[in-house]
Amino acid sequence: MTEPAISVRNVSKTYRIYGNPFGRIKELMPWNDRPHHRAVHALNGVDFDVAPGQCVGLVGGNGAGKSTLLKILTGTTFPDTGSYSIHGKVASLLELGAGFTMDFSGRENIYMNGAMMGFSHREMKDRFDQILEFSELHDFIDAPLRTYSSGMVCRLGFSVAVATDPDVLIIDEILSVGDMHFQRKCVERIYDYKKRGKTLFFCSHSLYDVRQICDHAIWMDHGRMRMQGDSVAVTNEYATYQNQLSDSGAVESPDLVPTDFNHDLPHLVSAELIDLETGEPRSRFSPHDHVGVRIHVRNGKVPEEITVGVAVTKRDRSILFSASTEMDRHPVDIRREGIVTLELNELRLLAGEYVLMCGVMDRHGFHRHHQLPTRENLVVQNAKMRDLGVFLHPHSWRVESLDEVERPV
Amino acid sequence: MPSVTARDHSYDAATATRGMLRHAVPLFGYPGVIASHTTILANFFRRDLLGRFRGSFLGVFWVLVQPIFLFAIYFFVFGFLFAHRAMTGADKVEFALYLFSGILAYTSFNEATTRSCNVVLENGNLVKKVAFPCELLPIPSILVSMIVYAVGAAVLLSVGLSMGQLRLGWSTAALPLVLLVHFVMTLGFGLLLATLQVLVRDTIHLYTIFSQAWFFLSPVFWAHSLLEGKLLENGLERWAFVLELNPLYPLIQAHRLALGFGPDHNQMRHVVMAKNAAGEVSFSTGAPLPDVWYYLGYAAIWATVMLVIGYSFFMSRKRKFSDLV
Repeated sequence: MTEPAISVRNVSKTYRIYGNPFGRIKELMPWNDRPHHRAVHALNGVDFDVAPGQCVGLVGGNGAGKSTLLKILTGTTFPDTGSYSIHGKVASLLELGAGFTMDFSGRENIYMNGAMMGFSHREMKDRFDQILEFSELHDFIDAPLRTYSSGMVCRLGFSVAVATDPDVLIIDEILSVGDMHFQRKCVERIYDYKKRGKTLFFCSHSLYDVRQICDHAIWMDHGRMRMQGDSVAVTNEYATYQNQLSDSGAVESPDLVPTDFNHDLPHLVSAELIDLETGEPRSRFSPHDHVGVRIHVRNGKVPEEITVGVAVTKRDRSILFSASTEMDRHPVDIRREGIVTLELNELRLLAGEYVLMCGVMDRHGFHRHHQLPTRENLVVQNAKMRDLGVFLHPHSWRVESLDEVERPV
Repeated sequence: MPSVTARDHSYDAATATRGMLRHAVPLFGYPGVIASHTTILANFFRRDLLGRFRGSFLGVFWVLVQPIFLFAIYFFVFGFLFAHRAMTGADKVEFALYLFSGILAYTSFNEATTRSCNVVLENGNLVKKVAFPCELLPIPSILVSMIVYAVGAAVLLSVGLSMGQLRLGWSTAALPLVLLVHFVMTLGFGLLLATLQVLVRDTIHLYTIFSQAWFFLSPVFWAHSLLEGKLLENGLERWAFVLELNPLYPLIQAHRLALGFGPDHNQMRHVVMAKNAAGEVSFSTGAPLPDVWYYLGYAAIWATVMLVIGYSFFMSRKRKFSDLV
């Protein structure tokens, strides 16, 4: 067995929250007999290994200890008990723009950042073109950073981090910034990075991202590891748990699953794949199966005309096709709640794993109130066919020979 | 900004270094850490310098305004109103140069240490999010304060030399060493204050008050001879060492001697008290004070002690910084 890239052993960390500044001093006094702080267990006996080349997503609510764990792995904060070790060069992006100097130009910041990471000016010079190329900031590279948009700062940060070619990359909720084009580039770069056997440790509120990028996930809850394993399984459990919480009203502001939504506005309760013939939930199909996407929708406090849509995407986020009730001019008459089912009478997708994003929008199909991936990704198996590609397109052949007809001599 | 650790890294809470004394050990590696981060220090230095003067009309000129202003006030009060220079037998120009050199050395130290108080808090983002040797953080502001010193010293020397009051000699050769000792002492105090400020936010307020007192207790505007005269008058001359315990005492004197204040300078001499038959007391200048190497050695001891204390205190608390800022 190879040595794990990251190994964390029984790590715990407690923060002490003092009600007033004298609490700290009182506790130091020899006659003090009671604590003057509130202990917050940010991490509690966290224990896991990450194999080299694995991509691990970290999910969990606010205050679950995700950021503390990432900070410990970065080496900016330290556990109270337990140990960890990381093999190889680690690059971490904990906050966009942290440590950049806003008054300096992008160029100066690249060199300064390089210097901070222990790269010489020459080494950074060799990487400079690659960084510039990836960030696509050619026109702005000599302008001070304070003139950049937050997305541009993020692009610069990500470009520098990947240019250092680390063995372990730690990212905290960074991909959520930047435009679609750049996000796709990042995702591509991450896939490429995974292919080369490098390790990625990633924290996100977007279950969609975790499912797409990671093959392994860890669900943190109140400082403990609640579940770890296959990313689809973990995100499903987590999403189910979050939905239960918000249904029972236990959480006032539900965590972003997968994007923030308002319970007073139209939202999705669940979305799942079903077999149209039996009506039973199922996620593995073959290309000729009849597949349904069953979406449980709840209208807002003030009922409005809504649009329900589904986008079928590949794991690299490119959309293969989409359908919406608005485009198909199919009215959705739901005042409180109901089930909307998209019927794909013949699936016609070839082998692969697809992410189905369901959404509820305003009546113009423009403003997205809430979106949710189906509980399981769509997995298509076509063992008996030899077709290549994505689609099984209906087709036929016709053959006309243009050979000259041989005349009898 | 992404942060990168170059090699494998690991940490085990059970075997982690504890206690201040053990944290003093990596002090030997400190110059190496500084040397390997010169680019970053240069950039921080530039950021500090630019950040302070960007957008102001007079720009870098402001660095000189404060010492000059202080100088003008003290010259008016102590050179003119109280005329305390009479006892030292110094004329107006002598007193002015003496005062200005003291103010330069003192303000350079004071400004850098005061700024050091907040240096970890101000760079909280860096401390929290980027794996970076934050024991380097006080250095840029010390360098900026030494630039102010250098500009002031150039003014002082050009005036003093042209008026024949200052004389360059062997003691001037000690100037680089004096600056090194000044840097080390400031760094020691800076690291200590920066750590205290993270733990107790009142530190900077207490230090501001304390530094007011420190200014008057240091030989900035009073000369050793004046102090000596007062003590002799009251029969307390054996207590002179108490004021000389002040770490800034040898430092400021070393600065002066390196900047060309020779033994012919009235304020750089001992004082001799004489009583006549009627019991009237009179003073005259006596032997010159010790030379620059004496004060330099004395200041170097203080600087080393302060660096060991400041550095080990900083390093022993460093791991907690990101939780506290």
